[in-house]
Amino acid sequence: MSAIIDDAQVVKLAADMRRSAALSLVEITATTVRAGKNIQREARSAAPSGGHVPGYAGKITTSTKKSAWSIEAEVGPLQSGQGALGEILEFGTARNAPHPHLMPAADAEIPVWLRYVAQALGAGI
Amino acid sequence: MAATVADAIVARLQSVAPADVQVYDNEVPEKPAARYWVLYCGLGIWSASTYGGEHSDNSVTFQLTTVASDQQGQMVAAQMCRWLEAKGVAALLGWKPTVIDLTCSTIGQVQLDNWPARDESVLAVPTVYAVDRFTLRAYS
Repeated sequence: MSAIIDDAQVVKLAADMRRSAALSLVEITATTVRAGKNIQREARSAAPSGGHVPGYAGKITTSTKKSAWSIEAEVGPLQSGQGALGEILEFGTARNAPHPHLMPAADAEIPVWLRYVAQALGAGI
Repeated sequence: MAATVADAIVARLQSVAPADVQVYDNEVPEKPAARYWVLYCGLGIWSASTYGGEHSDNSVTFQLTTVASDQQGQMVAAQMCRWLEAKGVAALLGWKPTVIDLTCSTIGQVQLDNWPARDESVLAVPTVYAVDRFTLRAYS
């Protein structure tokens, strides 16, 4: 007994999935970079900027790392100059009050970013 | 019944605090106790659930800083701090504050990758602190 299997549709589906994954990643990369920049802008605007830390907000930057199948965005203060005070400013110390500016900025942006990621994934399939 | 969410949380912490542990509200005095919790809590953000509707939904994020000092050194202070932090978190997590004119959700925790850290200020006694953040929703 023998069977003839026509795999043309399977091959086409595999090709579609490869293409859609590549398209989705382009869109997800764009939306992730945008989200990083939005978090950076909000964090800078909410960062303490008084007499002791006039240059701190400017130290908050975004860096992105991309591979063939992933995209990462990291937002935070550079660990130089007043940027090194980031953790102390965000969380406070034993005697000093916190000035939350990094986490609230991320908390506000992440749901928006997830919505766009979902759209990109939906569009790709 | 408490007048504000912050008042309710302070009262809750005071009710579970060991005898030598102080609870401070938004400000640490110049000469604080050796072990204390300090609550940083604002009024939260009010929003409307419908466009043009009444701003009756309140989202509150607050921070509990746990502090322990000990003459024996930083390691003992860190252990104390961790123990006290766990006690504070246990008292708040899943608890529902009772506040005048507000219906509150139970308290949830914000995920932080923090652990007890040495206070780098020049203090007479080795001091360690830990930070936890929480959220709750309320509506009027």
